[in-house]
Amino acid sequence: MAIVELENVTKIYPLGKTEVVAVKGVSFSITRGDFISIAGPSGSGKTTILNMIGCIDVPTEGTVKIAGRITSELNDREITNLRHDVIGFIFQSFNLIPVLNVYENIEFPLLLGKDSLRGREKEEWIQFLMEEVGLSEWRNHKPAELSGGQRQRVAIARALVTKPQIVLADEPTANLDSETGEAIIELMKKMNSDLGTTFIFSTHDPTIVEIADHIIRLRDGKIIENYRKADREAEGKKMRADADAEVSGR
Amino acid sequence: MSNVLKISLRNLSRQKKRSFLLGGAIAFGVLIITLLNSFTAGITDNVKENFSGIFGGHIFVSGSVVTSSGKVVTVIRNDALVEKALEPVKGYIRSVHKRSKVMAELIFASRTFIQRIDGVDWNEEGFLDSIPIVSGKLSGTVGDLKATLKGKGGRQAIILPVSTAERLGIQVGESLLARFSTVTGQRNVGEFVLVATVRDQETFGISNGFANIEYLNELLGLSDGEYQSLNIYLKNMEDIDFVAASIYRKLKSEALVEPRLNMDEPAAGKDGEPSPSRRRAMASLMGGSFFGNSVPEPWKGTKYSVVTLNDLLSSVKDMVKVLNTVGFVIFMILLGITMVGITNSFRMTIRERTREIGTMRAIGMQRRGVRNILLMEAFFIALTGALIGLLLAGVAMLILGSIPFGSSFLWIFLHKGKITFSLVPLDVAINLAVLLLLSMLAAWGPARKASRLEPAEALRTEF
Repeated sequence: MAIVELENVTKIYPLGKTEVVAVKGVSFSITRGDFISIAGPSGSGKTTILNMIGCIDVPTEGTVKIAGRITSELNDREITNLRHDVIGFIFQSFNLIPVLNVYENIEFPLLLGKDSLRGREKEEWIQFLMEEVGLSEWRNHKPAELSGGQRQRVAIARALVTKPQIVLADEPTANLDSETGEAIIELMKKMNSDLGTTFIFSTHDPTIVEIADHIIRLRDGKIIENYRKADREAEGKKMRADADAEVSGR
Repeated sequence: MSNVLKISLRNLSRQKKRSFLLGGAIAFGVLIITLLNSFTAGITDNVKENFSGIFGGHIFVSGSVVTSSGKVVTVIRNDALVEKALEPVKGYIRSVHKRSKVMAELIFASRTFIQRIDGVDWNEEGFLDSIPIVSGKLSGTVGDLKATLKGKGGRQAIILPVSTAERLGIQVGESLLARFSTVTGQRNVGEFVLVATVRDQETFGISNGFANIEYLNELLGLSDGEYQSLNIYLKNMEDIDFVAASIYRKLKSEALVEPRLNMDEPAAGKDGEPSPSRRRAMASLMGGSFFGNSVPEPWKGTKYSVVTLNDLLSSVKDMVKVLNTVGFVIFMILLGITMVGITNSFRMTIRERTREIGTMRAIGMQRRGVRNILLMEAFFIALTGALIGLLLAGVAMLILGSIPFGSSFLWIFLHKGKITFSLVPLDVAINLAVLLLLSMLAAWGPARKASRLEPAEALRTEF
């Protein structure tokens, strides 16, 4: 079942007196529970697509449908609620609230929603997430007192705290060393399989791209490749089996 | 909401220097306006208190009768009605004193001077302590003067303002004559001995001398038990207008009463002369008659008049009004500068926090939430600054209030030689409300702009 559907989406930004076409006629859909990588070089349109899926930007043309709702038809209040209830964000620069400690940063989105968890249930859920991301002992530390990897773990916990259907991560490993980056992706993968949350992340790191189940490759605002690894593998197996059969038939 | 509050407070502590400077400016403004307001309120109280000593009361009830020959005589012959009028407000009254008064022409050697003289009971409790006595030969101390007045010398004793004594060239211990009209309009002369002088109050157009009421009544032709004015001291001067209105209403329900001085009326008309009602009030207090020797429409019985200290101190009120206006203008200028500071500071804050605002919006904070965080910050800066300003004002009041000014010519403004400050809660509340409102108004524009930032655009910002 598709939780994200993009249909013929184009995004144009004004740049002085000219215009920049960031995304051109892109269409794809994402199934609930997927672990997807949107890959491509800088300027290929990865962030623009993530912003549109994250409802913080709307397409110039075409439609973006999130959890069955067309984003361009919602007003600011509705779209803010949709972001809060359905989407979690992980940013390249972590974007934690500097004045809040680890616990409070994770708790923050819960305080913005009317139907969010309260009381002991909330406490337990945050504690669980802190344990999952390995930050229980850093509960009272401010972001400035954490390493890059730890900050990104806080961001992951914060993205998951509202139990969103989708978590968007824009280049989550770009500001981390390769070892920490891989650990972060592994953590995201674990949360994806444990909680069933759909993870969509952008990257230009080929090793990280390969960890995803579903890969969408972009270049110059267009999709050049869109495939599921499982399908590819099945296809490969089938091709190998066909080839073997052909060899043995001779 | 608690989240908004928490973030606002923490943001303030994260920008300590900026918060300190803004709060400091606000504290300074509050310090100045509070000091000035309390100072003027203290001055008003002190001037009233000092003048109440000179006039011998806070509220003055006098009576006038028209004689068979058509002349107006200032006298209260039967005070049963007045006492009845005081009954409902007796809880507010500290003491009541019967007095007579006259505008006398004082003669010493070849010099003359017109002076108002109050007939007082020298034994009246607290009287000598309430007037600003200047040391004289017979009055080295108040204790000496009391002994003189209670002895034989008390009958013809007179106490005059310093300026009057200087004009006449008279020294303490010397005799003088006083010429005036009796209540029936005949001329009479009395001999008095100057026993002391009191500080001059002519700056405010009021100058008073004191003589023995029994002796003065004899000279005025008043019988035993008759007097001209009932002077009332209240426990609290703030009740003057209320108590006077009650006495006026009560008297009016049973007797003829002069209309009260219209407090809304300007103290002087376009020609600079006092308004008719003010002239009437002054005349009734000074012991003369507004109508002169004849009245257009004679009345039967006693016609009463109720005058208060507030009615008479319009010049003090004008001065206080000027001081308060100057204080308010200074406050508004300081506030204006602070408002510009707040607006600019918040503009900078928003530039610095654009990505943070974008993040909060992205993870589900509504526009209102972003706006409220910034408004709360402005509110807390203003509130903290105001509270510190009030605290500093309190300390400044304590320090300034402990400095003795001795026998300075400013005595009329002082209480026992020291400045006093009177903190008026309503003034403080109004100033705080204006301050908080304007501070939030100054932050409103930037806060609104911040709340309208598009999340994607805000997240793209590099700062």
